This record gives sequence, C-alpha cells and structure tokens, in this order.
Amino acid sequence: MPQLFFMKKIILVLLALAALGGGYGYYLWNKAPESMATQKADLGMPSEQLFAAFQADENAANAQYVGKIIVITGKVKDSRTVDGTAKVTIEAGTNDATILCELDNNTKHPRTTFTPGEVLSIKGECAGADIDGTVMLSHCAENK
Amino acid sequence: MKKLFFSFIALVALTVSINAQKVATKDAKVKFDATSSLEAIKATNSSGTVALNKETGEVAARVLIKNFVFKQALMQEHFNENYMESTKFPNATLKGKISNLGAVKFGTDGTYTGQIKGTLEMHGVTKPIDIPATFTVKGDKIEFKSELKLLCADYKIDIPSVVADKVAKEVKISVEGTLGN
Repeated sequence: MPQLFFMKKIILVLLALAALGGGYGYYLWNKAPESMATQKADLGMPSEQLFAAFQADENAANAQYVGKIIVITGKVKDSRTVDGTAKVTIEAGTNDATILCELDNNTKHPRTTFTPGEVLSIKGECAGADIDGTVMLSHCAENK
Repeated sequence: MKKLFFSFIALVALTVSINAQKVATKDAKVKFDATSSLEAIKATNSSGTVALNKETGEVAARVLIKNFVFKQALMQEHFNENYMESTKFPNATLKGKISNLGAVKFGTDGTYTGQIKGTLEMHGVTKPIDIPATFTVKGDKIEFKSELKLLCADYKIDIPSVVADKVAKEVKISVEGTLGN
C-alpha cells in the first residue's frame, strides 16, 4: 500500500513537471522578439563610416556588418511613420548618402519623430544595403 | 553664347524629363506567408524598395531579409538563421521589365495590369520570374500591388523533415505600395 502511495506521488510530480515544461515551452515559443533598447551593441561608428564601407565593397561590408548591432551617430535628414512603422533617415556624407533606420516595434520609444539637423545616436541591427546604396538598420532604438 | 544657353536649357529639360520618368518608394509593404495547416507563419516587412522607369518599363525591387518582423522571436530567429541565412544572403532582389508596357498607361489615371518578366535573386539563387502586377495611376502617384508564390526548394531553402509539416512548401508573397518622385 505505501508503495502505491509513493507511486501516485511520483506520477503527480512527473505530471506537474511535464505541465511546467510544456508551459515554459509555450512561453518561449510565443515570446515576442527582444526589445532593441535592452540589447548590447556590437560596435559603434559615425554614419559616414558605415555608409562608406558599403560603398567601397558591398559584399565585404555585408560579411562584416550584417546581423551586427551597431550604434551609429549622425544628423537626422527626416523622419516619418508609415502604416505604424516609424523610420528615421540619417545623413551619411553627401546629399544622397543616407542610413535608413526602422524603429523597433517591440520597444516603447520615448519619441518617434526627430528634428532634421539634430545629431542622433541610434542603435539597430545592420540589414544590408538597398539598391540605391542606402544602408539599412532594422529594429532600431534611440541610444541613450 | 545664345547657342550655349539654349543647349544648357535643353540639357536641363532633358534631365528633368528623364528624372520624371523614374518613380520609386522605400516604404513598400511586403508580406510573407508560409502558413500550413498546423502553424501560422507570417511576417511583414515595411521597408521594401521598388523603382520603376515609366518610359522603359524597367522595374527593380529589393527587400532586406532582416527587416521581416514576426510576432514570435523564435520564429524570426529560425527564419533568419536556419532558412533564409540572412547574414550570408541579406536581400532578395528583383530585376525586370513590364512586358506589356503598351497596356499600362502611366500618363492616364486608371487601373492597369502589367506583366513583369525578369529575375529574382534570393538565398544565393537567381531564377526567372513572370508575375502580374496591378498599377493604379492617380495623378503623379502610382499604387501597385503584386502577389507571387515561390517554392522553397527552388531557392534551395531547406525545410528540416522534423518541421516539414509545419511550414508550407509554397510561400505566398505580396507586395504593395505607392510610387512617386
């Protein structure tokens, strides 16, 4: 009889552990992407430097920077919100040289509009270069 | 001097005319859907670039893979690291031409169906592509919309057998936006 009692207890503990494990798995699977505000940057540089690297050799810059979390600093050219996604364009040297930063939807941003000409430090994951040479940072957050 | 002046004016007019033929957007919305009967797999990219030369019908488009946003972090991670290998292949690029340009009157308001023939480079593979696109001309703006279906296997995107039933083998992509100067 005591054996049956212990057996029942063990089964209950196992069931509880399985439920916990399942619950944790469900939580992990449904977890939203991490906010950029809490992620550590891999490197930082002026906007001109990142743009120049892609201009010099796009393939080499892709290999070096894509997927890295980079803090860039530069002057704001413009900012806009399209279909709920805020974007800010940073000057990167000449008139056509720009870095487009798409703000992270999983971050609570203190602001989503920026004044043209202000110097901004912004953190995001390097996504590569566009067909016109614009370099893009995705999931960005203002770097404080 | 007069000749030089008029040549300069003609050059400026030509440049303005050429530039007026080119319209583009950096805000195209690209939706990805690999939903199967077992799992909803959807993502959105709000920064697709599409450029069109109204005169020649040439079309170029690029979407950066890292810009796709999923609701679930793990799904986004698997998409980038296991399937699209976005660090190695950061973009998908379409280059093509509207093959029935005569049927698409970019100078007249209205809705037209254009057929884009060209190539799509994705995941290191370049394949020919032939897709319809709807163009709605409203003054100097052109709204566009296109949908395409791609087979993962065509672009060497391997789906592990463990999750094969959860990911659709044919992925639906839709692109829409507004082109302007």
